Amino acid sequence: MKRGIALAILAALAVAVLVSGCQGRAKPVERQTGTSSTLATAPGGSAEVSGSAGGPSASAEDVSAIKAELLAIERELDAMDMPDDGDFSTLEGDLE
Amino acid sequence: MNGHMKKTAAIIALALVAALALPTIAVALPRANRAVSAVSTATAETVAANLRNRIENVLRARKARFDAAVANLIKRQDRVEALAGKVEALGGDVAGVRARLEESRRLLGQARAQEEVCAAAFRAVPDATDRRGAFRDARAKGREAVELLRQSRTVLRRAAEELGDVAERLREGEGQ
Repeated sequence: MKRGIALAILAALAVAVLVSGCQGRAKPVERQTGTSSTLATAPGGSAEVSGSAGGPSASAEDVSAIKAELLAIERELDAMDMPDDGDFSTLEGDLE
Repeated sequence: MNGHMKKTAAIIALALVAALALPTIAVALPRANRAVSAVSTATAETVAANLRNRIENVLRARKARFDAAVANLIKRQDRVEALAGKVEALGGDVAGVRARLEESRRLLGQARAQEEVCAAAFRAVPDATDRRGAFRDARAKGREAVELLRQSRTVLRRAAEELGDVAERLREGEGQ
């Protein structure tokens, strides 16, 4: 009976040690993406942040989202209604 | 003899009528002229007042259209600015983009100032001696305001394109 209890405690301790060990190796890496941040587990459990010139690297999704919004802005600018010379044409007949 | 007397009496009567009528006409004519002049002055004032009303109506519609375009441009400038911040946070060099944004904002400010000048010029048209000339000048000022607005939009568009290129280079950098 006593041996059974001791084995159960040992097993529980072993599981706890294993779980804490795994968490230490595969630490989640937080990556900033401008307005939103995403959590990603680095492959192999490494916690390094890659990137150029000290900044975090741009994922393809980040760049795609930015470019899509920029294209939308360009299209909106092209389609913008602008005032023109015709705004005053109706006055011409009232001058005399 | 009798006929001769009748003729003389008729001549005398005509002379009397003329003598009486001429001073009356002489007195009445300036009054009539004054009346005609008063009517034409009143007509000119009415025409000027109508023109002023028409100009105010046209300026109101123009202001709504111009202000809407300005608000749209400001909104897009702010969006490009926010995206430039994101690209910069990812390591992109957005100095050129920010310079273009500043230029776009400067041109927009100039356009608004020029539009004020244009509106003032239109308000002066009814009192101008050469209304057509004054109208042409005011219209030219309005054209300049719109041209500045268009330039602001063009520069902003270039800023957006350039920012897209900077973002693209970041993606290419990641692939290497």
